[in-house]
Amino acid sequence: MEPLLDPCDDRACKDFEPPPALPLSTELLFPTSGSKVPDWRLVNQHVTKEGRINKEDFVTIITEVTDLMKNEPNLLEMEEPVVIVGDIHGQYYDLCHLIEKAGDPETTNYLFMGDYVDRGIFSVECIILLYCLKLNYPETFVLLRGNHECRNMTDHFTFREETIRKFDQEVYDLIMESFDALPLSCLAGKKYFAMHGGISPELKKIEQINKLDRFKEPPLDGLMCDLLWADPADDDNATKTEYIDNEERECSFVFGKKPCKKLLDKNNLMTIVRAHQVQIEGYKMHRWDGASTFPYVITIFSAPNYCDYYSNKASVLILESGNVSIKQYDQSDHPYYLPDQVDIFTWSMPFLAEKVISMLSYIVNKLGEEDVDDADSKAALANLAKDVKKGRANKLKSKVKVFARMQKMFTTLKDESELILKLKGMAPDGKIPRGLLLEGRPAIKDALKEFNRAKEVDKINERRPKGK
Amino acid sequence: MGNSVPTELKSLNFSEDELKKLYKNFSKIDKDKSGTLEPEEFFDIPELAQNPLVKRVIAVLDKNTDGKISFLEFVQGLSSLSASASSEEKLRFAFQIYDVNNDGFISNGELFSVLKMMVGNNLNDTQLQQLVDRTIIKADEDMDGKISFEEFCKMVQDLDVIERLVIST
Repeated sequence: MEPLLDPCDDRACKDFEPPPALPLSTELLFPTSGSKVPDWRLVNQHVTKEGRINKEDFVTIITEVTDLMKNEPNLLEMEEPVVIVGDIHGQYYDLCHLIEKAGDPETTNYLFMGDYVDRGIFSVECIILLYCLKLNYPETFVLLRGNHECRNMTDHFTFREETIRKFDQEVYDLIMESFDALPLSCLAGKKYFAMHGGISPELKKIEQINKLDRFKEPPLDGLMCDLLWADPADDDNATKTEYIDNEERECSFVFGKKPCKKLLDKNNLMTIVRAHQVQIEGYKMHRWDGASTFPYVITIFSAPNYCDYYSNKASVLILESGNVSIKQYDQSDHPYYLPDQVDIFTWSMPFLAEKVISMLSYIVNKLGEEDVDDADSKAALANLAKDVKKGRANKLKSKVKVFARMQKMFTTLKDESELILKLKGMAPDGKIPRGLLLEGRPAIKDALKEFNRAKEVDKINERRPKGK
Repeated sequence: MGNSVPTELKSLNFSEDELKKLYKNFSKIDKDKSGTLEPEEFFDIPELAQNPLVKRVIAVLDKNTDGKISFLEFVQGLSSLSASASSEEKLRFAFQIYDVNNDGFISNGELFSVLKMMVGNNLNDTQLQQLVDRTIIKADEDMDGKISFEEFCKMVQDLDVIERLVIST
């Protein structure tokens, strides 16, 4: 697809390729006539360069994926070898990197544990790529549901807003329907029980999961809710915890060693694999029997430098020949966006207005009150009159407004434009504070301290929001 | 209005006092008493030194592009930013700030260079270029790779900053 034109041949950064000017054509997106399987590699290339796709094509992709997933059970099974992936949260460029690093989907089995959207600004692009991959590899590319894949969360956070900005409400509604169809859990390599959140006091035998009706907004409690929302206890408390209320999430439970062990034993499992909680190293082994014992729970988190703020590494888990290994990675570069993803006119106009007004107001009003020779000004007015007579003046229809009122407006405008310029405070999704965007991030001296501070500040966003 | 305002000037709708005041200030800037304002005379004003858009404003005021501002150009420019000037006049003024060569289109390079004046080194060139490319793709309805006045208006018409583009005298 052709990149953006440069008709005046004055584009400043000539070495840097511009985005494609047009959406990917339907013929290129679906190259095989009669087939609705998209060319995912082309889509990946195109979207990586910030190209768009047509709404109709995206609708086709979403509805095909929904139909496909409807036939999947709530509890899937996958054989080894398999790559297990945690939260993505709209970090499209990191998603691309992890797929490149962990193995080509054509020859690699993938199990994604949910949370594809919200927090990061490329959530729509993540869905585009993941759904294209699903259509290409329906059996070996598995997507589970995370707690963010629902109407309540995507409306409270940024996915709904992003989808409407890039497409429209109709596309958003279709994506929500597709989220209702996402399966809930997977048994990988026969012994690794994977879900987004955690286990449930209702869960005794994992086959119970297949009895649920999953095709709906996740309920406020119960087995389906717990699979998406529960957390393991802290290592310090795990031995003395069974199931306690999950205060941080304001729903579901925190589960400890005893119920976890019971579930694993009764179902002949090695460990729980889940996501849902950011980890500084990108993963955590919850070793509740001691330092060198096999973990009860493994948490995998696949969004590096989460929210452009946590400075965490990300990881994926590789299950192969009965062995568990972890691949870690850092954040990849992504295109630069202004806060709230505004365009450059919306961003610069307040600044422009303030500077123009400031300059001209100063000249008109503040240059002082010394008298100019009256004869000179009379002559000037006479000349002006001549020019007007010659028809060079525009039609003016000005009236005088009280300057004091203007002054107040200018002050407000100035504050606002400085705010916009200095961008005091907001991470891409406007939810947590971060350093001055324009001045770049200060060097992190103590990564763990920064990480813990970030967690504290972000705590409110880990809560389940009250439904409407 | 005083009797000494020539009849022709009444159509400008500035009172005699206002025109005299404008002229006084015009003369203060016109240090070499040439009857026109040269760019250097603006740059000599300390309060304008930190304003990154002074050159652009001068260029927009200079309608006949002779490199200097006559009193007429001065008054006309101010009129298009007066309190009861139409939104279109104000939008046109803003558009001309971006349209460096005044050909009626904002090109990729022009948008980049004017933004660069505004942000300085707070963004690197690649970041700024990405923002410019993306904005043009968003605004460019007729797909000619540059932004016309109509396309510009569509992008900014909902911003209430337009109403605040007002100089009072």
